[in-house]
Amino acid sequence: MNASLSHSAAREYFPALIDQELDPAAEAKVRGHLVECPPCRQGFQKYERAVEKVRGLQREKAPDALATMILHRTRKRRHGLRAIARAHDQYRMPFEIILPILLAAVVAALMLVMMS
Amino acid sequence: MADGTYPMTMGPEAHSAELALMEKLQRGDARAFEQLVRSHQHRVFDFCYRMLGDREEANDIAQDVFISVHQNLSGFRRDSKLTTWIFRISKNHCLNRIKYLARRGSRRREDFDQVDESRLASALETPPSPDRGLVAEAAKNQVQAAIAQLEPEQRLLVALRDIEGLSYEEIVEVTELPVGTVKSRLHRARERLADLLGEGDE
Repeated sequence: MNASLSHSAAREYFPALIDQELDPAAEAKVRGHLVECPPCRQGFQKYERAVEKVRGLQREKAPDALATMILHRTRKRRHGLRAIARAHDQYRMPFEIILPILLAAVVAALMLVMMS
Repeated sequence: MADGTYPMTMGPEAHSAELALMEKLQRGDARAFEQLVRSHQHRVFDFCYRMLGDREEANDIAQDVFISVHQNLSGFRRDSKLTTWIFRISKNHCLNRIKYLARRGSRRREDFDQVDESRLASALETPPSPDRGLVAEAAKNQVQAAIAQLEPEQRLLVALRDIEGLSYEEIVEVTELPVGTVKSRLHRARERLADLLGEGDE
């Protein structure tokens, strides 16, 4: 059974072996190959050690000020939007004035087109 | 999983808590957003650090990630996981930043992305020190230096799978790559890491 597994095929099983995703029969087949093949065994040990080192890395903690800076930026943005809305409320023209101006503009445009 | 702080899978209770938080966030609840930032900041920062190899860059990009999250809360689809969505935004910001820095051809400060051969060699061949703290620090630097030697796409998969502990299903959601591609790229990345870190062991 082990003889049927090539070196490259055995290596392709390394991720599944690390992640314990192989069914018992497949795992036995790969492990059997590793027992009988020193280069593949050493390759797997090197691979496994590297994954363990990465998984064992201590996490980098965010700087203390990170959350405060994010919240400050989002508050500023919210207030910025509110300020625009407030300015719009204060300076916008009443509908009763805008409508006649728009109508006059449309009539003027039509007259210009007709005269040309 | 590096330290077991973050669960790889989400139980039903955590899932319903996340949905409740999401509802508050989408209503514009500022306290809910603060809760989100405080609960995810270290994870997002660590991910950005692994991708960019620089604490200052990671700090800036982590801020941008949360600002994007804040701006796009209305676009969040309830069928995906909040954490996965945040990682997708983080991934996009980091890859864009890496491209920008590569175009600009310079780095702000210490950057492992294009660490020169001599620096890598010195990190990988640091002689053992009697001080435990220094040994641990040197080992940490060796691994980070090796991660920084990977292509950004490979680094992304190593960070998501082996550091952040995401499942393949979650990684597919984050990267939008087929699962077969994720697995084969991750395998190549780990082989490269094994070569880089193995050189130091031998």
